[in-house]
Amino acid sequence: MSSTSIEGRLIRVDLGTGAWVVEQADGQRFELHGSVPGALEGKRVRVRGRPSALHSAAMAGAPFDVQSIEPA
Amino acid sequence: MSVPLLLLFGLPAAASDEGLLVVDLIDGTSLAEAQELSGLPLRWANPRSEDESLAVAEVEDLPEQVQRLSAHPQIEAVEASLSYQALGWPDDPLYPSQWNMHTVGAAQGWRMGGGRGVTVAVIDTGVSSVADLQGTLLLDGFSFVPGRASAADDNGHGTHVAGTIAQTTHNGLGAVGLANQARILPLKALAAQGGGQSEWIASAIDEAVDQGADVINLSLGGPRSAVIQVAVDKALARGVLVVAAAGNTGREGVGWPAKADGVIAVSATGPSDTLAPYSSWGEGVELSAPGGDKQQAGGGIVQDTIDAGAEGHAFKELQGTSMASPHVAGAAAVLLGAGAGSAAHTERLLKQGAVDLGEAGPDSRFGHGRLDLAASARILVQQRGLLFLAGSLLAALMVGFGGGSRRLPIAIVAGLSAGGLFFLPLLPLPPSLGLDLLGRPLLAWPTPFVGPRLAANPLWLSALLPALLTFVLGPTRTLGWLAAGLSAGVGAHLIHGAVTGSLAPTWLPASAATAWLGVNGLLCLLFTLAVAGLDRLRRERRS
Repeated sequence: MSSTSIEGRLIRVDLGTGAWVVEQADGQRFELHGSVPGALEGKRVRVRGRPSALHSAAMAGAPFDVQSIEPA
Repeated sequence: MSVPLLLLFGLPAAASDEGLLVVDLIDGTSLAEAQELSGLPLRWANPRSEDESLAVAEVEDLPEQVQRLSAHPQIEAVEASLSYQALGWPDDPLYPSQWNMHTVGAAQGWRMGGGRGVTVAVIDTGVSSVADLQGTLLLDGFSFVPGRASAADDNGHGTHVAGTIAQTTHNGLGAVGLANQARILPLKALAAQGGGQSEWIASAIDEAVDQGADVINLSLGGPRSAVIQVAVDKALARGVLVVAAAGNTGREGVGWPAKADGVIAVSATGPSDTLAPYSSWGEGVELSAPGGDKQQAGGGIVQDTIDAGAEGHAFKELQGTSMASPHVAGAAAVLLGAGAGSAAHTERLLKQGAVDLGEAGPDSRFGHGRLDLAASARILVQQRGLLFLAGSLLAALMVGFGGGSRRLPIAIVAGLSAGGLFFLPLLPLPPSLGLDLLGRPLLAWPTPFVGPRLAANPLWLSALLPALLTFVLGPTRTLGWLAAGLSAGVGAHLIHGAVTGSLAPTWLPASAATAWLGVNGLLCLLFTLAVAGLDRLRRERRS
């Protein structure tokens, strides 16, 4: 599957042992899997990657495999 | 108070100048006011204490603080915190603040065996034998995560979940668990970051079934998966209860595998018995249970788990439907271990006992209601009371038809065989295997030793034991009454199991199971009739 990108605010959610999510303006959340730079917490970010079929302990949103993250 | 009464109602914790101070302020006092007037870092005793303005603080000079504050006009009462539990049971120091365990009535479950003999598979990030799981029966487990050979936890999620189910209890350390005597089967299907592929999870479910798990907990969620559904179907067909977290989106729409057919989907509640703000809800929610709400002070779920610090473990407050699901799995383990019988009957007890929240009746937020293990256990006790009565009456009837004597002792033995001393688990006594067994029907005796599956083998759930006793003891003058009573009691239980589906003999399909139980139950009653008839003939010959 080719990569795509999503944009939104990067949030550390306090669910289970915690998870990184990107929250879009309409409240839709993507749960990020992969390397996430904590310094961008709270900022608007653009995440390149692809939707994944991963199951997760945090269950915080649609799973998304991260290739890269940059400030939007 | 006399010594025996003290023993029954509890012994105060050992006195020490250092400890927890409890301050009951005039209702309506805010926490800030309380802190200012006391000069102490007070916090509410638990999340529900704000209404009553009941606060606590750790202090180093308890007697002085009690004396200093007792005359304050804003304070109604002040004292050192005393542990008043039956015989100091349990003595885990965090138990008083584990609102979730009090809310679901954990103590009732401990008195009914705490899930002894039951195996709960925790399909998660793994389970590590942290300090407060040292006394818990942890099986070897298996990892389905490639490159990770051990089922030990490398995230902290699975160990916390396992703690809610079976944290070592009454060990003077940390927190308690619901089914403290259950065996935990750790199956690692989520990697260190908390994610896992559907095939890892499906394989873990298959492994759980192969290893004889009675309950499977899935505190995880993701996209719909055909292979997981197939694995779940196989587990359900083997009579395994599968419990899963509804999801943490805070929106309508239950996640997967919670939404898979036959899975008990669990939404999360907070300390105020409202739906937790993060909890998913919607069609498919079967039950709700405490998952915590950290927006309220002390409102999370506290259990022991791995930690990067020097001690290697820590008691952490987590929240999520991940924390709600193991409450239901643990409660199911307790009921199964108590001899509730079939998975279907256990699920019914969980739903019937649940506290109806939200709209009247089942709804999409709380399902059948918030888990209340104590209420579910009380329903089981009531059923046993009725079984006692039914066993006694049937025995009396059979003895009457057969013209036998000793109707009262036979009826009592029948009642005891069918329902046990059913009221014993309701007494506020510390848990013990002896009391637990005395409170059970005869057919539920093997469960703590061999587990619910083997205890439900068709030979045990049959007229075999009554037949043996009838042939050996039935013809004797001195012990015939024992065989007659036991046969009637077992017969009443088997017939009840056939009619209600509360018993499910292992390896038999449902239709054959009903016929098996019914026929064997009737045979048992015939044995009682036969012994009574023999007794009549013997007496006639004598006269």
